[in-house]
Amino acid sequence: MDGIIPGANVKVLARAINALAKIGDDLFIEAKKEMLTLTTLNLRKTICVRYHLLNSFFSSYEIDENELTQQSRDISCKIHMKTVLPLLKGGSSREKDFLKLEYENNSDVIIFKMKFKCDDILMKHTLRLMDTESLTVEIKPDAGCNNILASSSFFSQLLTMFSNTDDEITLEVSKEKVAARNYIVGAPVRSKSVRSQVNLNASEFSIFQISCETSINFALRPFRTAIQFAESFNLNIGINFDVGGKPLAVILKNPTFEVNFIIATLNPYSDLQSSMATTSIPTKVSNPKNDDPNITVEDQEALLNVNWSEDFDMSEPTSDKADERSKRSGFQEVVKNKNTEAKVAGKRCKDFSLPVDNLPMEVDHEDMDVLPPSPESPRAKKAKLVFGRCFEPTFSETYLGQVLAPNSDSE
Amino acid sequence: MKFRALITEVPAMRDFMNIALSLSKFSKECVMRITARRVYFIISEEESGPRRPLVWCELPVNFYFKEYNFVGVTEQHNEIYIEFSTVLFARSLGILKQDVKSFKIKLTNKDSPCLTVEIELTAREIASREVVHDIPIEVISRKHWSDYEEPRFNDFHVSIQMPNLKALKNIVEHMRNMSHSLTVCADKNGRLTLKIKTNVVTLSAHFPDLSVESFAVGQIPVLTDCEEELQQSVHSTVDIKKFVMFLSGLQINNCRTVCSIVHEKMVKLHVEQPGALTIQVFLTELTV
Repeated sequence: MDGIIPGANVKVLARAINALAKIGDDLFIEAKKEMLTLTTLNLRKTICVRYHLLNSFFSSYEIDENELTQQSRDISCKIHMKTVLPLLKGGSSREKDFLKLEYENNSDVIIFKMKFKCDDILMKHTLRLMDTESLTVEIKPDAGCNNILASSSFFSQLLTMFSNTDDEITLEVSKEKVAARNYIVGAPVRSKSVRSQVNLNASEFSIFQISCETSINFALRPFRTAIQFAESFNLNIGINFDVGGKPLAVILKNPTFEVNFIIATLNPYSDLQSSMATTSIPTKVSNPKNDDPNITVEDQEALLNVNWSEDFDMSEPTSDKADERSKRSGFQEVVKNKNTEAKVAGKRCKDFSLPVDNLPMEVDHEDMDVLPPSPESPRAKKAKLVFGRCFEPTFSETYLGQVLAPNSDSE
Repeated sequence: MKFRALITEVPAMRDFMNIALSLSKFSKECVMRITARRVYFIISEEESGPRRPLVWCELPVNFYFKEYNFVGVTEQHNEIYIEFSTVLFARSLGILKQDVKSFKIKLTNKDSPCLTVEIELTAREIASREVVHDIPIEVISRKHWSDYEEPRFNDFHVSIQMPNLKALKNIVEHMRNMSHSLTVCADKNGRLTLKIKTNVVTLSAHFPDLSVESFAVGQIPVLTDCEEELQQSVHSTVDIKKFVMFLSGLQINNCRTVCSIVHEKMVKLHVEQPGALTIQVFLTELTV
């Protein structure tokens, strides 16, 4: 894939990458036939930001058709945000003539070539990519039944009514009005913050089509990032959403690029949790290269079937007293007890079992259900088998042979 | 206990906003004392000893508010004292910079006592936009009211008009980098002097030809040097940080400032906009 971005649009790319960097740590770059898409997700997968740079964004955009016809319809790669961000962070003082992106399919690197206006300097950055993964975002940004559109200055003025410390915003939308709040009515009051509410009329928006009235709560940070980006290019901001609980999309459109911020939401009046969404955006990250040429299939199967406990000797079964001790959490202080020690000495890793912790959760008896502790993952169980020796008292007589001198201090 | 006040005139709103902004620069918290005729903003010294006011700001109600409904705690004690964060207050009033149709401030109880600020903005369309901010407050009970008594210091040795505050601010801010304490000096002839003294340098700024409001000659302790009798001056050494805080925090223009000094005891700065506003700042002598 080869793309050349003219000077004026390099600024757009720079701002785009800055905005993406505010949300997530990894950048997915997908080159399709008609556009280049930059995507990132936040850690909890509740925010997905996509920048679609259309053909017209580039002064020249070439993509190898042959690569496209394989399983995926795009060429994709994944890169650390930290690798790309410093390249484009420079201010407008370093004006660029153009920026060229070069990527060969299945390559380890992506090349950024930047030509600067002053002194005709050409810089070539070869950036190492992460393991190739392709990302499928299973949400269409205009799937919702409610649509509002207004200018970026309107939204940024709205944001000034709220404080920078506010994390969430709740919109109570009806056919004629919308009330924007930084709190949830009925939630316990936080004593150190101001609760603000702004009542807006439908007439203040360019488009205000509401099919289903709802209350929708979502994070303010990505919303702010979107508004800042839109303001720097004077774009109109469209918000498409459904009911609270379904994702909300902030859509910015321009003849040469389109931006979608997809944010998970919740309905504060019907969902139990009053804090931010645990509903995450359905995305699928798949690793198309499942076969590592260094390990054959038989080796992989063998690895999975290894019984780690075979490395240790088997002899006496554990005693009752040892069982009792092992019932306490493995990390408690070990009480030196000469009687049990002799019996513990013969203990075998295989019979050693750590109890499942009863999680000391603070249960709010009023509304939260007691969540059962998550079952131990097989990896954790294996680790405990392998490292079982670490959970035992450190000193064990018979392994070391005869006792030359008794212990001087009891731990 | 009830309080509801409405401002409809834009200049009054801007002034009110500037006062809130100044308060937020003076201190993080303040006490608002609401009475039938006046509204006071009181900022106390941070020391945990007997509370003394650092800043005392008085606003006459009829100058600002078009409507004013007030009922105090009891009939006998017809006042309300509340405490809140000045930063939140100033931030909520920041919208008054825009085109505002009306500004209402009132005491409410929405799960906890709040000072509610309701602002109606003039939008271009027929229907206007409303913004409501609930600022969390703490109501101060009557037994603590004596901590916030009105200061009555009237025996000053000298009261002298202050020069342009902006010029003063620049000078004193530079002085602050060099010393912790500032000596404020005024003499009979209308000369105000600000002095700092370090190991390396003594720096003084003189502002002559200021009008002296009062000068109590007889009460100043007699100075040893006879020459200085002609130029008897009164001085007091105060914390320079607080002086700078006042000068740089004040966001109000066109006001008259008077500096009053009690010899080696206290400096009081009195800012006045006749009929509209008085702010008094009390700086006590530094005990080094």
